[in-house]
Amino acid sequence: MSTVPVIQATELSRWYGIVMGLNNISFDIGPGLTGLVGPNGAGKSTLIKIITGQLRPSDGALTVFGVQPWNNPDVLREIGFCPEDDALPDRLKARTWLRGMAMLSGIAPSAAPDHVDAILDRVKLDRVHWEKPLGQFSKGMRQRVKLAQALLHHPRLLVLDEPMNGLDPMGRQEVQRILKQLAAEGTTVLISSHILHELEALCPEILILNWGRVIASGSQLALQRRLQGTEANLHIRCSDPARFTRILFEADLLLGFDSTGNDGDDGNEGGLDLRVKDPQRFSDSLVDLLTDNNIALHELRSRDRSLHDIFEKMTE
Amino acid sequence: MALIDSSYTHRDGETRGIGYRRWVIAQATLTACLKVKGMRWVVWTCWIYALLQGVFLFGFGQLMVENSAVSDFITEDLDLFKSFAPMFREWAADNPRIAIGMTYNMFFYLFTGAIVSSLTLSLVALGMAIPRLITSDLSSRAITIYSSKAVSRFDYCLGKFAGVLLLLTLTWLGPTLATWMMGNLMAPEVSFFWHTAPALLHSVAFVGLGMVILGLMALGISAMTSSPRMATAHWVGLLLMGVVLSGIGMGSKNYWLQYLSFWFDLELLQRSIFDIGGDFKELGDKYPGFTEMGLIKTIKTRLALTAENVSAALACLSFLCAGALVILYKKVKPE
Repeated sequence: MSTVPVIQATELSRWYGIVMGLNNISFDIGPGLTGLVGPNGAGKSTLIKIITGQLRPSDGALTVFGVQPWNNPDVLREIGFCPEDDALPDRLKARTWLRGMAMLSGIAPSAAPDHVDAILDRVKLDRVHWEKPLGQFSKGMRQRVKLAQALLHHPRLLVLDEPMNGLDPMGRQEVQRILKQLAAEGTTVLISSHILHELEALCPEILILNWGRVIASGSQLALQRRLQGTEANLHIRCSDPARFTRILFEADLLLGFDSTGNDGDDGNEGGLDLRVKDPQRFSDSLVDLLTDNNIALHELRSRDRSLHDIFEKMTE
Repeated sequence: MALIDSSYTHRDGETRGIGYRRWVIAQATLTACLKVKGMRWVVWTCWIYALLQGVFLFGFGQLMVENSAVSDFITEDLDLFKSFAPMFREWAADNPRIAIGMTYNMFFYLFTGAIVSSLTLSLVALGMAIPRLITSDLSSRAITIYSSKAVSRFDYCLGKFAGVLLLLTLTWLGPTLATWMMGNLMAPEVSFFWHTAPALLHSVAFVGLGMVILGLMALGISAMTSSPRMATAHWVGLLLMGVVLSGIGMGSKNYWLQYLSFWFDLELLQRSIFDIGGDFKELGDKYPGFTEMGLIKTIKTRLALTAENVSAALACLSFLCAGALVILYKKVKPE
């Protein structure tokens, strides 16, 4: 059984004239769901175009299933792409266009209709719309048709550029469910999105781009641990917050704090948002500090868990 | 490092090859073109025109038959035919290559490329189809999706090109072949088939070449812009520019202006392929003095052609085709 990374970039660069789209990046993407995150102009679209064989790298290499996708129909056959653009022909009916797309993907004309119907059911496009021109579709419906065309040929790699755009909350949940299901079936899914909390819930793996460079990649957990190496944001609720803050400052563990108000009956208990200097030392000495000073701890939780925080810190 | 089992396959069903995918694009292109308002009328007109030409050839064939009802009907009121009919019959017996073959060659020269011909109708059809070729994919940005499928840019263009050729087959090649077939099936003798074979070969050669040239130009213009109106305007502009320039160039010192009209260039190419000059020479050799008669002489002089004329026309057409290919290369991409 041979094994290769699904997507592998090695010193990959792409420039447009003097503008750098991607700057000497290297990364691996494995099976499952991976989120691609980055501010505007970070190089996400350029990377997606290279992965889907629409752009040639200027330098370095990017392989999908071990081969370069540029001008390579063999590998493109294994990729499904859902672009961000509203790339649908308005005059054609959803079913007609998707049949054409199925045939363009190499599915026999006799098998195409059943295939299309099954996919339209899967993306939950109401049957009453199947025979309507795409021009009459709402943004959410068009988004489903775009997703359907990407799934038609059962790709091993699915690349989605802002797939949640225009979808209502229920639609987003449905798409998330489909994507999770696909990942469970063995499809590799790469999602670029600005809706970070959705990526957070969906993608265990994250690739963060900024200014054409990969600034972080790996599991959300690993990235979180990496960030905690320098500082951590915590919420704490204890019996004497004012004294506890003083103790932490004296122990040189605190960078800053914010009181979130008293919530105890005696007015001496309350919540604190802490910015801790050295998370490892803090966790090692916390129990001693509390017991030595007779402070009762009611709650302790990290405020650094969101992908948004990771993204903000990484792109700072 | 993340790894995957590359032997994993998702779909067990048959996946067809690239030839099939190109055919899908061609078919879709033709279907889209035929859905353009008025396109079916143009196609029908081409076939009705072919039918009329077939009737005309039937009449010509009947002239060869003495005392036939049709021959009598034609020659009854028309003095020209009254005097020509016996001569044709004599020639047909004496030299069928000239009487039948050469006449058919001249007819098909006119049928395939004259001002009122299936070429003109094909140019109209192309003008209507151009917004649906590549322009619509650029304007809807659907090209982004197509280019992510397992078809290369080359395959996409080839499919589109095949779609245009199919359309031109409906408006130009098909009616031409049908005309030839009708003319021969309704001819008084089976020998018409081989006497008129050169006319068919010339027609197929010219129409085939014309289809390739016009198809490339149409695709190039269609890829120039993402605005359907602008695409049509470019095509009409190119046609009008050619007509105006060839009008200015005709009979003037700046005769070279005529070569800037692709229509004029195609006509020169057609004259060369049909070898009209060769026909007149053969006719003059067989029947001295005949080609020096008033109308015949005028036609002969008007259709005279030199190797330089053909080279210039070919050069201009090649330039236009190369331009179309450059536009396709530059514009047909998702970026």
